Amino acid sequence: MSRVLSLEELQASLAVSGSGPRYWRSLDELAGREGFGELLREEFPRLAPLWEQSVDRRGVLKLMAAGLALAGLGACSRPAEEIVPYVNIPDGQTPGRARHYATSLFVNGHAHGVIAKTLEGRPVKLEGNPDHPATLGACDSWTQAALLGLYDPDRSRTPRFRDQVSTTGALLDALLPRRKHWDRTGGEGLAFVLGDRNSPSEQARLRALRARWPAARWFGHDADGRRQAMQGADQLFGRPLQPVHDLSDADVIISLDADLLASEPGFLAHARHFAAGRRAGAAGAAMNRLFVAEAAPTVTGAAADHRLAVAADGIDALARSLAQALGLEVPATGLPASSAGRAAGWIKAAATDLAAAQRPVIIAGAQQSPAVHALALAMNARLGALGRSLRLREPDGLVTEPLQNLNKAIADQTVDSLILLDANPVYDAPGDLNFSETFRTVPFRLHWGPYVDETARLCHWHVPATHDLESWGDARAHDGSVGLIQPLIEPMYQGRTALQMLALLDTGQEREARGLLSDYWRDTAALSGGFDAAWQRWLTAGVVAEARPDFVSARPLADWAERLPEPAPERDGLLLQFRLHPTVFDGRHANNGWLQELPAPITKQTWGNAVQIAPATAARLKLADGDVVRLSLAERALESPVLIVPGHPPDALSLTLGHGRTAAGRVGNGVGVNAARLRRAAAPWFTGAAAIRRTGAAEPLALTQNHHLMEGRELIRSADVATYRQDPGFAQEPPPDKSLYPEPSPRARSALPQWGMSIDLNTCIGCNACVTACQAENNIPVVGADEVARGHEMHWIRIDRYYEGEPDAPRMAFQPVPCMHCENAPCEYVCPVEATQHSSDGLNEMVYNRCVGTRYCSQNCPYKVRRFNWFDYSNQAALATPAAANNPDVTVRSRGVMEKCTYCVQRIRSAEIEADISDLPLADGDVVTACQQTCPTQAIHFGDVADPDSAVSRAKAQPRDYGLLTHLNTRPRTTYLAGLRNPAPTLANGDDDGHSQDDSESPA
Amino acid sequence: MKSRPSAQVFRPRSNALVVVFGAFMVVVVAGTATAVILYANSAFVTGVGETLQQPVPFSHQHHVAELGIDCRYCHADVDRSAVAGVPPTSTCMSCHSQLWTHAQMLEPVRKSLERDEPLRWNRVHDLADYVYFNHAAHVNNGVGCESCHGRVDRMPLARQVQPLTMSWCLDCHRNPGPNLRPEQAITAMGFDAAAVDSHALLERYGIQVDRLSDCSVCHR
Repeated sequence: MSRVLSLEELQASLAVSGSGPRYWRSLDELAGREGFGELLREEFPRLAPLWEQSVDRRGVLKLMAAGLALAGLGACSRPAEEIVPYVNIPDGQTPGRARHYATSLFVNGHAHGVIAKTLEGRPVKLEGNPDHPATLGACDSWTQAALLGLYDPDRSRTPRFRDQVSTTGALLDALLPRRKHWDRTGGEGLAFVLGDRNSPSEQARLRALRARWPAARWFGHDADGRRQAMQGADQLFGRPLQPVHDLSDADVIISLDADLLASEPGFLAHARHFAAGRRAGAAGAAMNRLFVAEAAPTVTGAAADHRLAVAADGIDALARSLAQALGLEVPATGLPASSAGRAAGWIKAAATDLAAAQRPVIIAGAQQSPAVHALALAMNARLGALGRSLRLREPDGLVTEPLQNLNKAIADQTVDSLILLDANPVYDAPGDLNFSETFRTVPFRLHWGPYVDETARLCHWHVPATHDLESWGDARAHDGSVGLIQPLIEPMYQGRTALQMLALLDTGQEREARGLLSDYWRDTAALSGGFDAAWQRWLTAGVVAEARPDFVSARPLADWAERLPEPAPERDGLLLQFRLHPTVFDGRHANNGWLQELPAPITKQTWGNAVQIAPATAARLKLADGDVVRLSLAERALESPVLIVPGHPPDALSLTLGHGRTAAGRVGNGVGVNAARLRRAAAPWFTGAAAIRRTGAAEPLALTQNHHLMEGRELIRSADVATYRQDPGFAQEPPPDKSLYPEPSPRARSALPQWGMSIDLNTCIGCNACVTACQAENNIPVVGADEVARGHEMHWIRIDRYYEGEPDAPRMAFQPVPCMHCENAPCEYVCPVEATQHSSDGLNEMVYNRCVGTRYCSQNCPYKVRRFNWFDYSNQAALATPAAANNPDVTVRSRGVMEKCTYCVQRIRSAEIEADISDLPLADGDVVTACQQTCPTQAIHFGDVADPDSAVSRAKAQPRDYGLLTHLNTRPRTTYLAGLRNPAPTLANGDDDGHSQDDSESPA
Repeated sequence: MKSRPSAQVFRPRSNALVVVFGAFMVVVVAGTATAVILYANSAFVTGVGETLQQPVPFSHQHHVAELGIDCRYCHADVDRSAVAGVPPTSTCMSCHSQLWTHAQMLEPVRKSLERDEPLRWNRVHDLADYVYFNHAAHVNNGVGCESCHGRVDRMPLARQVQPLTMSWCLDCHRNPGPNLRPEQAITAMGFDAAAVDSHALLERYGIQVDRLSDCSVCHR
């Protein structure tokens, strides 16, 4: 791994940069260090070990002889294949034609509406439901990957008793005396631990249980810290309320450590509305402005016009100062010394903008303290945002106690029966609770959840949960809207839905899942028409239109500011911050290969976590990427590699939760370290007094960061809005010189349509949703950590992350790179077997059955978008995608075959055939690629570039349109719209983050 | 460096040997190539003419020629789905609950319905998995059933009559005209394609011939 980089070295390297923004991708590159280029000049770095294990001549001959003999054997007979028709064809089913159903999924506890595609009763793809208010037709990586979760062979299959297969009947027998006892005592000694599912019908059942057993205690497992927002509202309004933010038409958006575009509740709607404001700016109207103060880099920070890196414990001081600048009387404290200069400028600019804003909104991150939430809500109220961009709802569900109370109750022996519903506290309870030890002392432990996880293993009884795609249920979104969950497939194992499980506890009987749900809604919904018609309507639309959220109005208490806690004293030493992982979240997605292999948006790390640290702090502590450190807090410690992250606040360490699972399954076990071991229940999200020590060991990190370097060319272009207004064509470059020779290609293509793509870097937030959507649509295999470290990851679309400016406060930008479908494709000329060819409608086609794996095409591809199957990833034992999850319209590739983005040719062809059959012309928008369909910000346009009125042609006609490496005369069909930034005028000279604002790219 | 004249390594008659050897090699290479091509196109490899054991000896000849049932009565999805659709058991029983209700031959069909277990037919026309053939795209564009499946009205047991090789597919994809027929004759057997104006049909179906040999038309 690399040596230690000094900050001076980096700054010296920056000082010599010329005019215009200079993007860089990694600290090594920025320093231009010896050996770095060599590493990258190889197409796939660290390939060498493959060749080092030499095979001798005898071995080669033996293998060849054996291969020939076996090849002959294999050809002896044609494989027989069967056709198995239905006995009775289900109503409306046409074999070979997909059907689509609207349903909902829980994504980290909140409902996301989806349209699920099924083929012969088998769900194969999920898309966002355009009618669902929380998703608006967009999708995210978690939803996409839920499909893989459905087919996960590690899911729990049967009820278990003391780690042996059992039955629900046996469980009912065991429950019978206990239920009688609870009925007698009102639930004395009984305790529930609830996960974060937000479902109206389940909550009604839970309330019924609470009424039945009033002495029972209820504990909530607060995975993402959402409890703190309600506590903040309690401080301000005198009662706990849930804030619902609405970013539509917001002109000034302030984030106080809220990753509102990629993980906060409602992030899909936020991203869509944020992008609308960006797009309006590009079209000539006023552009919205995003101020972000954050404790570790996120995609929201990357999208910000002004990003301020502040350690998590400094957000409170920042919020107080901002509140004061807005005229609120709050006890103030000094800004953290380390970033005081920048913070003051940031606050001034934000306050100025907020004062003039039409529709401002301030959002505090879920992991921030109640005081920060109270301050953010008070500022919103002050600015008149209440009822407009910020609305308030009564809290959903039961009021629950925090987990530490349970720990105490168990220790006091007041709990003798524990029922855990979709919660895994043995894995993720803060380490200082020593929860697994206390937990073991409870005499009766029952767990309901999708996996036999760490908690289930320590329980007497376990009941498997059905996957959302095989359940009947309902789910509430962050904004209070409700959608029904309907099954796409019969439960594959002996799972029970949440309602079934609760009914089982309540009535002591097994009930049918659908009846439980429809009974609830029949009793609840006040309908003018009949219930059955409404039920059909809800199932068709995926949304219960009648279940409108009730927003309440509230006024800040007069003395709220006095009740704010004393500001924390200035910390010395390092702050340890716990962050939710951008892909595996709190660990619930740990057994999902698609999410494990999805590069984290900023760090580009796959398969594991690392201690994130600022470049300056790393230099001070003499740490380099991959150095294993020992982190200790009180008497607990763990060891993890270090990852230097530009833009991370100094003197703080970030560690993501969700890794280090021991009972996740074959994919997630033993990946990374479990950060929860260091957490403190009293301060779950950040804590001081952490000690860090080098162990001297180093560990390779599976990063996708430095692969596929584009040699520092101007690949990503952006400008300030002001520059753009003066010079809309700032991203343009002169066309390549005309050749003296007649050009043999591109040959004239008369066929219609001609496909092309446009990606808007102004709205792309780098959230990775397209990567997972592509993986699901195109049967892209999971390769594992070792292979990723060798540069063998297979994603057809990669998101390049660029830094610009100084390493301690860089700007970040993203660029999704799929195949460019060059009209003059360099790959096509060099294929010796013509396995890659150009179609008459402008696609660069890849024919797998013809490919012999010379890899010349990849060598000759200037964009490095081709991927090679070094091994039979699709069928390898541990990580193979279950065959049922594969898209039958796309070939599953085997070893030795090159592959790449096809513009979702299977969708193009089926749309063409559909249009042909129905005798209708193919309309603009009939073909939607998987990445385009899922994109939360609608940054991707795809369509016929020969039609000047198509959406993609209109996008490409914008002056911001540019292509990558067009000087090579490749004539890419995928082009980009240059990014735009909207810096505040008061900060436009770079006094916030120190970088040059001369953003215009010279058009000459 | 100074070069030293070397002794003649090959004598003049070596020239003749080279010619003979060269000719021999040409024969070997051409022979091998011919053998490989002949083998690859042989019925042994392509499966042409092979009859497979089926759970029920279903006779297309009887149902099509003698009873005059249209192809689409059983293969109902052929004009709207990629797969023609082998009929569900219930389709068989729509007639055979009235006719031949006790025939021994139909025992598996009755059993299938009774036990709700599907019939398991052996596939006669088996394309490689990387070929995405679409029935609807063909029958809606004037390609008759007969063009690929032959005279099923003369087959007591279904068998493959065309080699289904890529070159055979491409013969038609490069020049589809001679294989086109009007809409009403798609399922007809023994249709005389020479009797219709193929140019008019190409026009009517809107077939862009130059696009039909794009790789991704069949391979995705």
